[in-house]
Amino acid sequence: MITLQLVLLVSSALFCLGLAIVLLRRNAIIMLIGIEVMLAAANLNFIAFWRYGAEPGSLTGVVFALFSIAVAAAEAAVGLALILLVYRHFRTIDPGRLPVAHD
Amino acid sequence: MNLTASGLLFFAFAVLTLGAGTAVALVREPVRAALVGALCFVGVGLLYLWLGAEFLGFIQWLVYVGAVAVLIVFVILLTRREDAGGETEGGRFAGLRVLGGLGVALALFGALAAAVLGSGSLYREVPEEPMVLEIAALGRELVAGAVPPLILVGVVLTVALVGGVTLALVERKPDA
Repeated sequence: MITLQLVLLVSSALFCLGLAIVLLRRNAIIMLIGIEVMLAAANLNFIAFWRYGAEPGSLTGVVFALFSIAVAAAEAAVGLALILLVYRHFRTIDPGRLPVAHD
Repeated sequence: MNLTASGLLFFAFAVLTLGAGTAVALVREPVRAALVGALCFVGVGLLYLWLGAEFLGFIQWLVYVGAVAVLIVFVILLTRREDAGGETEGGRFAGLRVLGGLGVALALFGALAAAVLGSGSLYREVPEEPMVLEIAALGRELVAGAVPPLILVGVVLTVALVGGVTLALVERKPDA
């Protein structure tokens, strides 16, 4: 039926989707969503290895995913505050239009 | 390959998650992109539930859909300008950038898929007995073995939120 490989393939595809969002979009907020998608894909791996692991009693994967979600929330808060600050200074959140991004 | 109802559910959740993620990359309007992003996080939570980690699934919904997605929509509304237009369409290297981004993402997926499929030890079926994540056991695990990281993560969250407020604070001029 559903094997560990299949779950890992789904999480790999999700990670690459997040990477594609970061690389293709030109809006800092949407790029942040892409980063969150990549983090969620990593968490999915932790949960999958916990579910299919050799030691069902061990909760290490779940605990790690819990910490990872907490850190991701902190990262989103700081990232969005930075985006607000950048918008206030330059009136744009397009990384391609920021003066610092030009060479 | 005989599919049971549980297997069909897994495929439905995976298609929902990946489809919503693809929509984030394609939808031009930022608010809509943020909303389909929330749908993608809902799908990830459903996958957690399917894997038996109920508590994690609900936490995922609370944190990502309830907090992060709403915060993202707020920031999109705060940074919205009529004259700012959308994202930079053109530029000399726009086509090259799209091709390069897609190429990097597809190459990475190819490498990851080859690594996953090439490892025979990963060919494991899901255990027959349903696995239940006991919240009490999770709490015991946290208190027994992970107290310093738990306190640290609290400190990190506090510092991050205070730092976010400080960054976003509007500085008033003294004479105002």
